[in-house]
Amino acid sequence: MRNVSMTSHSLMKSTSDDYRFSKAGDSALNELYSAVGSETTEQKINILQKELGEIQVYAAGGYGDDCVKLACLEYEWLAAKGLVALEFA
Amino acid sequence: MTPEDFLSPIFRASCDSLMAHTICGVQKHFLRENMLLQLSVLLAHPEMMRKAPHNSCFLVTSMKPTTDLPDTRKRVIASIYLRKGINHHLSRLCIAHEVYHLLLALEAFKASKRDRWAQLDRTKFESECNQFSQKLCEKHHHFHKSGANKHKLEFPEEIFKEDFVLDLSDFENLPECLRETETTSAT
Repeated sequence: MRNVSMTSHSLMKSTSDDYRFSKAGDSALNELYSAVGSETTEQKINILQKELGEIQVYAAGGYGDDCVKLACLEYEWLAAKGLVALEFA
Repeated sequence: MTPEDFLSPIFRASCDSLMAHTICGVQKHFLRENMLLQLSVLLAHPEMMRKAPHNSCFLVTSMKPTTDLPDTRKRVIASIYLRKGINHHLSRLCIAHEVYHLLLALEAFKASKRDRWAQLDRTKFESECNQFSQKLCEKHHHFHKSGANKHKLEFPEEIFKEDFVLDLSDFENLPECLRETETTSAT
């Protein structure tokens, strides 16, 4: 449980640090994963691929492992659901 | 709304659009293969950077059916994600790098008899992508530096004179500077 005596600044910081994407985004992802029993990175990638279609992910520098792929897929899925706002470069 | 309301935001967004010509170029390249490429350049979310702290950029692509189109065109959606805060030189190199991944993916798709938009080896082509990126940016650099595109960047002054009224529905009466045909192209 959160410490209710935190200052508003530290509470805000703690809140944003606690979520990977956003409160709504994280719970939507958790809901998706738990609905189909996806626990491993590979299972999570599979369910997101099912939702989004076959997706290719490339990470410049050769660090394109499955964890990176999962983060990209999660972001794309949340964007498709309107749960994160994409920022144009 | 008036045209004036849109002038500043659209002009500002145009000025901020990195590698816009390259993006148009690669879209044309896809279109020649009967494919529509929808390409966006975005900022990577911190969660993506947390998973790949050494990366400057990512490419995420997928192929979607063109159910809304009564034709055989395939539609590719691509997002290039840039690390937040990188300067525009590195941003442009990153965009060019990811563009090469897209070109390789297109070649693989053609080789599969247009059957599968599949994931290629994620590390195999990195040095080729970097090479392409560096060479393409060098071409842009020399092209801009040489002034070879000056005639394309600047408009004829006469079209901004107060007494000139633009009417695009009357081609025959447009000033000569707008009617003359062009045969040169950028290299």
